[in-house]
Amino acid sequence: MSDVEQKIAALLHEEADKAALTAGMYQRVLRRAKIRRALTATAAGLAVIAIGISGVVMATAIRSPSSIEPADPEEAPPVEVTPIRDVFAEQVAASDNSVWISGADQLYVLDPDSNEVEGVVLEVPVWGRIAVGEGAVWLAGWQGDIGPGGGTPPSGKVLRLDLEERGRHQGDVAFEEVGEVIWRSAQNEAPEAVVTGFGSAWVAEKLGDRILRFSPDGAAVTHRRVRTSLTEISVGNTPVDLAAGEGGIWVVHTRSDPKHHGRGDASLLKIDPATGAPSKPVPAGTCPHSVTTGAAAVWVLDFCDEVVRKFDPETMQRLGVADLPSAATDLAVGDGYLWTVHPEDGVILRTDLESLDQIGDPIRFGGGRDYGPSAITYGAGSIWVSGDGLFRLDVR
Amino acid sequence: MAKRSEHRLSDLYWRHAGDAVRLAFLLTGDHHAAEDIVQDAFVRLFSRFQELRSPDAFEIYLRRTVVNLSRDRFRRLKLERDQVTKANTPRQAEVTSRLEDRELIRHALRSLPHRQRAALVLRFYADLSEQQTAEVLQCSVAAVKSLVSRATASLRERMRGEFP
Repeated sequence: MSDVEQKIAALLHEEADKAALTAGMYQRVLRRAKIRRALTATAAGLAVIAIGISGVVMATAIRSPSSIEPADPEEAPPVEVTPIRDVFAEQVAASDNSVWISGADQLYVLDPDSNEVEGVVLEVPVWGRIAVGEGAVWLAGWQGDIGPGGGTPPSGKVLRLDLEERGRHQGDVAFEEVGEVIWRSAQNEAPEAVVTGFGSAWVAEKLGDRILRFSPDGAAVTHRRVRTSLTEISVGNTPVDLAAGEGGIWVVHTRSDPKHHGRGDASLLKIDPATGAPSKPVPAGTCPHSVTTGAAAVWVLDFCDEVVRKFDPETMQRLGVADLPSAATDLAVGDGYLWTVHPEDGVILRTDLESLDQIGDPIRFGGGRDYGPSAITYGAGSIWVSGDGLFRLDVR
Repeated sequence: MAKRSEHRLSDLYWRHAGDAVRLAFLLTGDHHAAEDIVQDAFVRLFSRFQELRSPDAFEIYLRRTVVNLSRDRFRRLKLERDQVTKANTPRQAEVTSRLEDRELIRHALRSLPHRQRAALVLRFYADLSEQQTAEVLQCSVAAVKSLVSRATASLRERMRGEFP
């Protein structure tokens, strides 16, 4: 914890000590709870109607105003926004023919042809990142208890869900039938990111300053497990995000301690998938925290500087900088554009891959700073936005 | 409400209410408001106790409800505050001259947007991880990082000289 954070923590504890419970509060709570429970039972029908109305309000709020102004709407082809129904999405990963969504303690699989949920992998309380590839869906993050009687303290894990095994089922299925926990954090820290590529799943473990490489060799261990070897690659300096593509695995480092900013430890490096060797890191701004690949480049999002930096994957030289009008939390390259997520403004922005200029109208989502979009990915021919429901974006 | 159920709720109340009041107080800066919010939060959760996905994770539900109710109150207050002219708001220099440093920090903390303040309180007071904070705030870890970073930067900007 930095000096600033320690001061803030000390102050908060000092402040909190001023607050205390008062006599009689419990009796008031209990009395009100009994009344409310009685009223709730008779008002259940009304609640259903209210939920329906709120859904309509959310849909109409997609075009609510925000501080970000249009760039040059006449130059850009329009984007069709399709809300996906009945899905609470925190993270999304897409392959060519399926879209996987984690959220609300569940993992959904969506058919991108119909936009319908095909089924739910039940009771997978994972809060973290998700990737699909190498014959499996991979989840990395915090995971609580699986199965009946859940609610145990979460711990850092990596889960693998076999796609072939999932394919034998239709509709909902229990995680135990198709998945396995393949790694547990010894320090009970959640992994930061997971990607697939070059025959492996790659997981960033911030606390250990390393990348974990899981390589399934195809040999079955049980009906839902294949033999998976683990290689640890030390990369130093708190890796926070990964991308696979353009000839390598790309790792960005940042520092949670602000006093380190500007000292060169906010960097980008490349892991050679053939040898597993990390390159020398190159400076990547102040707070690089997301990376992606596409259009023959590596793209690094910096939320402090409010920019995306474009790097040459061969030389690791910086090719350009896209200025953003506000801080972004995630990025994707697809459908001919760079896309960035701006949760506090509740918008998605499009940037031209060559000129690095903003293109077209901001795509607005309801909720703004409280419930804005937070994550974005490209797959199955579309851009997918999650964070407050799930939306599919297609350039027309 | 059956006796057994009431006993369970009583146990939950006495185990978590104190922490909840302190959390609400940090989020609102007002003891009476904090108590109201915690009462509301317990009433909501008690009346829906059987519907909770994991009743054993009561503390998580409670934190989330307290944060959401504090946010609702913050929105209402903001509407009222917007009616007040800037002339009534003390300028930074005036604040600096008449308040002690720690009081100034408190003022700066309370001036943060609700979501940024909630992220700071959950991370540095409740000592939640980024993942757990994201769960309570119902946002991504990246959004938590962004909120904490912006809040810290904002405090540093307001508190030049106090923070390194």
